[in-house]
Amino acid sequence: MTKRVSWLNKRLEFLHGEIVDWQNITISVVALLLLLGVLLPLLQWGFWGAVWSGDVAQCHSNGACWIYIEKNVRHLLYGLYPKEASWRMDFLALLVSCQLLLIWQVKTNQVRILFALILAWVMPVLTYYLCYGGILGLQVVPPQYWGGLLMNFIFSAYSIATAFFIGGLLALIRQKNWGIYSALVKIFIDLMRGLPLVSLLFFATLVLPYFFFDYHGSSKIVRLYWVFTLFGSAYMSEAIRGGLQSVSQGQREAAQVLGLSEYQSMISVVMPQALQIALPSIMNLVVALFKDSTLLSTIAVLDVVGMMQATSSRVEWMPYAVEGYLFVGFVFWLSCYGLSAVSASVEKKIKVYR
Amino acid sequence: MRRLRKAVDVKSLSKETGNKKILERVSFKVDRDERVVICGPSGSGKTTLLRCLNGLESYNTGSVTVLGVRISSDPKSIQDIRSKTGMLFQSFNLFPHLTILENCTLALQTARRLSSEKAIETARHYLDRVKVIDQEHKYPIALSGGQQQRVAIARALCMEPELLLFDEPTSALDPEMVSEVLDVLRDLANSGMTMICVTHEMKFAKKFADKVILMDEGKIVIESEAEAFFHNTDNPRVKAFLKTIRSR
Ligand SMILES: Nc1ncnc2c1ncn2[C@@H]1O[C@H](COP(=O)(O)OP(=O)(O)OP(=O)(O)O)[C@@H](O)[C@H]1O
Ligand SMILES: [Mg+2]
Repeated sequence: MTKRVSWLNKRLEFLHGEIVDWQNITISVVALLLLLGVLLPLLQWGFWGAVWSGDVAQCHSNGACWIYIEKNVRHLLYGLYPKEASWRMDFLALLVSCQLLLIWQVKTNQVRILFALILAWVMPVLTYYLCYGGILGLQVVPPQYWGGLLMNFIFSAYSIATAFFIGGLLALIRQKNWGIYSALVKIFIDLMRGLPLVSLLFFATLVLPYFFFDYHGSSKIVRLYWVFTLFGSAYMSEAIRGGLQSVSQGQREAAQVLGLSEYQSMISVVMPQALQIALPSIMNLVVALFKDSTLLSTIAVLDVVGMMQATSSRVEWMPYAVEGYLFVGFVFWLSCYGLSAVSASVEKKIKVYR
Repeated sequence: MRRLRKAVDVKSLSKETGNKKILERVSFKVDRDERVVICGPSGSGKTTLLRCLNGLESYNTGSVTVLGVRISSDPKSIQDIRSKTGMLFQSFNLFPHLTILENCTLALQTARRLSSEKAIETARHYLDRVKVIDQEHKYPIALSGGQQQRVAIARALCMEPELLLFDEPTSALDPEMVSEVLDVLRDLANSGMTMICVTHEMKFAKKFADKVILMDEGKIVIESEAEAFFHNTDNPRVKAFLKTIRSR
């Protein structure tokens, strides 16, 4: 008996450093069986039993109906954006991806900040006019037709970039102890952090319209953009403030003594270090805010979740909403996994000098 | 430009926080090219005094004139002093996110607005002088303490200061690295530079200093020529201080 166990031990050494005894083996086997009991039917449903091509009529209750995704992929990606104009969304998504890639990969911080500035302040305006059309002979597409996964992506990219700059500013003001201004900033941040995002979004759709002029029927998406951005800024500013606080006084003094002005010392000594320290929390926020962009669906914006709900409420697709949710979940998981990988690689780079 | 004979002139400087007197009517002068060592027991106000000279620390009464500029409420006076003064810290305070070379060129390029070629040339000159030129592309974390402090000295020298302030430049170093930093200081001293150094290294002070200032409880106990300080030890407090230093 014991001989056999030690034989097993040798074989399984690569798995863990612990000694394998009968108790361990039993637990492992039971766990494995349970896992198989759950996993096998799931795999059966999702892969071997699933319907991958053909027609809705072929779908049955014993397997996933992936045709649902295939048939609705256009809507899930573009919302109700007209087919002949959807190249605009493709173009914008490509542009944003390129900018994000540059921000990630570029060598000098000045260039990185420049691209982030463009993403935060120039691109949203450009995007608005390109999506809306009516210029350069482009067909007019009112904002209520915008939506889909590409909108989630573009919307959250801009919003996070804008929130980064506003958050940085708020963190600076709060750190400075500028009496009334710092107090106001603190109140604003606490308010934003204290309220659930959904309630803020409802506030933006139901209350704010009384104060805003509706230009092109755009005001809803613009209001949502700003509320979403301000919500993000509050969290951003706390993340950045954490970084600012962990830069030692000695660093500031060394810069002062070398004759750097307060502004120069902030730009080239304090901020770069603060942002490096805050990077993990900032990346966390990026992931969280990207996922939160699906909350737009709660107020009838046809983002990817909204669009998924809309398509699966049609009679023929009604039984296959689960496939839709799984698909959306998978896409978000994949993107967020990618973001975490990026964050890990950047942190590793920074470790070189910390 | 007329070269002033006095580099530092401190008159009746006092500082207190709450009801604790940190500095009490401190007065002293430092001539051009003079090397002054400030010593004294822990908490006697040496660091505070040094930091008052370049406006890192504020004070209550008295006057401080450095290199012909008197510190006033006008922030420009402090800026003016800082542009002609360098300071070295106990904990080096190199910028960890910049390479050794960038540490030295940063202030030249931002505060002095030099071109990057010119800044690099200057930085290399001084890095070579403190013998860390071979490390220029490394980050501070990769250097030993002694090397880091020498880089900090090079960084200060890049700004071509007329006065250098040192606050215990070797007390955060392992014993075997102390001498490499002190050698650089002695080399600087020989080349003619006004320096004020807070230190506990009495052996170094003996060779380095022209003048020694002993402080205790915020006051200057004795200010004398180095020669006299180390040999005519009739003053009981000097005796007591030297004894505590030796016994360590
Ligand atoms: N910001 C401050 N607020 C209150 N007390 C202070 C402050 N800075 C310094 N002190 C006090 O002033 C006194 C002198 O401090 P200082 O750091 O100048 O001494 P030091 O001679 O440099 O001592 P050491 O040899 O330990 O460095 C100490 O008693 C210290 O507690
Ligand atoms: Mg001290």
